[in-house]
Amino acid sequence: MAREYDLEGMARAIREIIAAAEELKKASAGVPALERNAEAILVFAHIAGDNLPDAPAPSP
Amino acid sequence: MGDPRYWNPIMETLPWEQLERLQLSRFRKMVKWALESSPFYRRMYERAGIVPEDIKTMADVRKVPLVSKEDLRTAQEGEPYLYGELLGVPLAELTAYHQTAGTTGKPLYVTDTYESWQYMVEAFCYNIYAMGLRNTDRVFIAFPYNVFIAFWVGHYAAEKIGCEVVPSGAMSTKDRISKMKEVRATALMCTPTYGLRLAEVAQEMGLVPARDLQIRTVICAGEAMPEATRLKLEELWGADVYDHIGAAEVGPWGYMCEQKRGLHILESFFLVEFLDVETMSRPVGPGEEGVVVISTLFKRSFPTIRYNLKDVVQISDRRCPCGRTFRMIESIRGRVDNLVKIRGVLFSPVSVEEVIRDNFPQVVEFETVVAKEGTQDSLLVKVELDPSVSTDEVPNIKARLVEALKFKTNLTFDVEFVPLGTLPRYEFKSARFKDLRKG
Repeated sequence: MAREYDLEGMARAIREIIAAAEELKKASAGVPALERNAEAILVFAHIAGDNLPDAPAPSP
Repeated sequence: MGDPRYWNPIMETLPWEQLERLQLSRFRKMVKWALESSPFYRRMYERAGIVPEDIKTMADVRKVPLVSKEDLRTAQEGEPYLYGELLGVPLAELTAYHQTAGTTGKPLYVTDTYESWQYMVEAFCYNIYAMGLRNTDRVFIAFPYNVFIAFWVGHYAAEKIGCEVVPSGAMSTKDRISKMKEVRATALMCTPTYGLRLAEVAQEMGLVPARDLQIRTVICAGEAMPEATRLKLEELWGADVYDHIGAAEVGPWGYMCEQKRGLHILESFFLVEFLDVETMSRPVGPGEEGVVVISTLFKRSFPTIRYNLKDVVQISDRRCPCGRTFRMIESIRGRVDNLVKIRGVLFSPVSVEEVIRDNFPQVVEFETVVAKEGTQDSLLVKVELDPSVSTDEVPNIKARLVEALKFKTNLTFDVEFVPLGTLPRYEFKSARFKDLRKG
């Protein structure tokens, strides 16, 4: 079943989202409206990653 | 396009060997987290010599100490208040509070971070998607939205799937029925007991739920639902009725699929073991009955690792035609805490419900009472009959009920018929078993 899906492509996209969200979190300079949304993006990116057999990036 | 039957076809059809490998890797990670972050687990694991890197097989998993609700409760007595040494994250990260019902003692406080809560919601998405909920559903949630977790996760999971959620909060039963009718809700979440009660009140209001309401899916939780009760709910609501299993401490870990036979274990989020009821050490397998020991693979705020849930289940020995590779349990037999000895015989109160719902459609409501008469235990079932039953039929119903209960439980019951409306009705979990021998 897993072979029907581009798992590597999905994992790569998730890694990119995580990297971008971490960059946004860092750049937010403690502004809650940006920092908390960056953290929320990270949570959902990690859940998406854990929905794949090989997690693209370790959970925080 | 993904397979429309599954929330996640990648995980739900993953070959078992891969799933087990994944579980072991996630379990190892959770043990490492708990060891580093929770003083309660650190002390226990250091004493037991647990090294996360050494956990490579299921046999290694079994070397990790079991924890009970009592252990967690004790760990919560220290600092930081409310969660004590159990906590796996700083207090500032917590975003949700829940608690267990406290039926076996002081309630256990359960907490989540934003992250662990979202994992709970994701886990429930697997459940309700398998039960057929889609973004075209309008889901009516019939629970009082309080400190008990109940359908809180169901609410957010339905929302995540894209359903329109109708929260009924503090509404009365009659108001809930009127609202369900008014908004044309297509799905309902409630306990099995309350599903029966809602149907009963709808009938009192002159409605036939299967005809006058548009509910096509009922999702139940919160208490054991015998198959006969599930079928009764299907008949009353003219809907597909599904069961799932979860607990406030761990989340929703098992679910029915569209086949409606047994429950799948959500293997990618939980590592579930089954142990022999008597010894609590021997692993039991397909076809046997076992106590559930569960490890959440994502809950860092409130780690539950090798947690004895005390749920007794019948483990399935079949593969489901739905194509999921997740293991199955055939039925939920109840809780170890609920098993009582009566006249030396181990008795599960849910067996009375199984007998009644299976064979006695004339019974509207019932209650089982065990008391002490001298040195002997007495066992009584109080029964409300449907008003359509004629007086002539009553002795026959009584004789058949006594016989069926004896056959099922190996115990002799007295049966007392009481007027309709005498016995209590329940808006959440039922309490149809009263043990008056205690205190």
